[in-house]
Amino acid sequence: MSKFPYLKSNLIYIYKKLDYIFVKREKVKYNLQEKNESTPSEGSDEKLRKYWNKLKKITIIWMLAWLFPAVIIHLMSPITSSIKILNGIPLHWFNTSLLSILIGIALIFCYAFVMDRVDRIFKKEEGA
Amino acid sequence: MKFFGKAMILFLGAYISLIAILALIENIFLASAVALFGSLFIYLFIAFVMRTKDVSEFYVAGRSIGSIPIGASIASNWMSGASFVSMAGVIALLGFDGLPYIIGWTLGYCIAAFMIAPFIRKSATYTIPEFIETRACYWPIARLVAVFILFIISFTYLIAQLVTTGIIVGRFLGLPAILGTIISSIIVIAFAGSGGWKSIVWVNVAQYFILIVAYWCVFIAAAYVAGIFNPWPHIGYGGILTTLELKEIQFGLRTLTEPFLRVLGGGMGELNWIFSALCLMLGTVGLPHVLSQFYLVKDVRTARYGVAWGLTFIGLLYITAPVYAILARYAFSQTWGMAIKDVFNLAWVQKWLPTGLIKLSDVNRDGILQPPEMSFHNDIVVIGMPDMFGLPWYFTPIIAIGGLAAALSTANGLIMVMAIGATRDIYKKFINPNASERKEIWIGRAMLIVLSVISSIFGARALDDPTFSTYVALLVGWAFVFAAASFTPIIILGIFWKDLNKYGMVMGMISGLAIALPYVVGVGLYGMPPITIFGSKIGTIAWGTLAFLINLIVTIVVSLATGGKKANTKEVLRFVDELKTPE
Repeated sequence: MSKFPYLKSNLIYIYKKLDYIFVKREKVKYNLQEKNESTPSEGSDEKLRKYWNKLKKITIIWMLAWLFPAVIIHLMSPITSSIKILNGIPLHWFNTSLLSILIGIALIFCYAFVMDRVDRIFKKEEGA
Repeated sequence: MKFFGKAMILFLGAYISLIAILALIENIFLASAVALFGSLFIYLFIAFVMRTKDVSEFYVAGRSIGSIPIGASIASNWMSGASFVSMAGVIALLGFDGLPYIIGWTLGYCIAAFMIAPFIRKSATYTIPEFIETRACYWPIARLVAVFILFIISFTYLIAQLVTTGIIVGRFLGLPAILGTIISSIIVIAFAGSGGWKSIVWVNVAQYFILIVAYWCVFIAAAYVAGIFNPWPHIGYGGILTTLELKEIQFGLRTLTEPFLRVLGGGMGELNWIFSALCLMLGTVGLPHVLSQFYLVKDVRTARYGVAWGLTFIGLLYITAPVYAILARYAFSQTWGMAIKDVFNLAWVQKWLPTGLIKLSDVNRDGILQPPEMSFHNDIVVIGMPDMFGLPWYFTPIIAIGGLAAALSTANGLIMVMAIGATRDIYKKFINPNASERKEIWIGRAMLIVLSVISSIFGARALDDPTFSTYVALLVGWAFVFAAASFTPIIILGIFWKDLNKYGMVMGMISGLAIALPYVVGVGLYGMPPITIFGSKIGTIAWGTLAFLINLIVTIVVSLATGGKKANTKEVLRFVDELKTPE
């Protein structure tokens, strides 16, 4: 860097210039939008916080449940490979090729259903 | 619309009648050609009906798509020609060790549904680079980096699709593969150019139903002939699997279902298997052409149900591929121990031997076929299935129509993502921010043509040059590694963690790629020995999971070290808050 004493300062200058050109414009645009929207009340903020906490909780529960078809079921493969079901299908093969996908589909539908309900309750409370 | 409905019914009637007449006069080649190319007119018709001049419809289908159509569109956009044609073949070759592809390319959609899709939809941005830029405090460099990664991934993917289309046309009709590549490029321009995402979504819906019906038709017929309807093929193949495995043991082979024995992505072992599956899942949700579909739906609720339908539709193919693999392997095993001259006389062997998809050689000159003396290409499992089980001729064009639909549907989405990237993320953002809507659409259409021409040139090169083709195939496989190592952690943290700032984002992406790239190139291209962790050799795909974790750690540490939330502007924090608000 000592061989190029102005390099650092020039790079900073270019960065600031770019930042100014692109960020400033977007900021102005965003601030205009912000002014046109009403500010949510404190009660509404509390409800939103509760909603977000519930959503995070549901997401964590569903991600933990997802670990079962995605990881746990396959970790057991060395054991389940010796168990045969349905006239000769090894259990580990059945779990991976069919069961885990079906569980995944069921998980997403359940998640959509539960979140839909949470959204509806939130909207109802907001309306009240 | 009523007129178009009637016209469509008339066209379909004429299409089916013409094929039937040609079949009756026993002109099988012409009947197959009409069936294959006629299917293209169905898609063109839909694209024409859905044409638009509206920017919002062109970019995000007017954000009006319902959950079942978007599910079908997600599925057909996801399932490429390679998935359709080669997936079952990979499992037939790798056995249980090929199954990470099955769960990796499906269960990633759970992450998308729980952590990404509804929030991406809520963001009201138009593209993933735009989302990343907004989250990085409107830092344009972040958008440029994202567009660059988007182009690399989508372009290599697109070349692979064009090559697959060329091969399908070439194999089924005996036409030069390069012609298939050029035709598919022109067709894709027509789909995408007419109405952008609005046309493509509905074309994708049609293509999904055509591809899945084709895949299942042949499967059901072969399963019936093989006698595995007890009570349903997906759970009724135990008998033939036992017979197959006994034969494998008799010939001294490892059985198909034995776990963690074969090489996957240059690695081997249980940890490699699990990490590979995880990398494919994490990579799936970081791929731009997957994420872009979440912008097209009506609302957050539709996004959630849309992903659920998407996985259901994808699952219909992916739960079937392992049974296809067993059926094909069972058919191959019937030839083991036969006299070589008798094997040469089998009808399906005679048909596919000249294509090079199967190879026979009496290595030990004993006149008897031993398993290693018969090698097969992945693709034969699906496209050769009708012949292996002696199904009537019309099953072969059915598979070709399905394969073509699969390759085209993925190409549609990829080219659209790139065209929008070039138009909205580069032209509109950096070159001409004041461009009118009309101009924007025309620029988008011009980009489609330019990108199609470039990709078909590269596609033609891939068909001509096996080395180049190998690099393309490797890059497609590694796209998941790069997506998992770069985009996925940033997008998830960007939604859920307010402390994420632009410094953390950029350092995370750079470190993820810096960890992934040298290993993937070293092990995948230069034959470096893979690292061993807990007794498992970690292959190139599995390495993506480690790169994801490194990205995650670096992003968190750098974000916290550079002020966390404080380094974000008020606008960005508000943007994150709005992602959380229900509609």
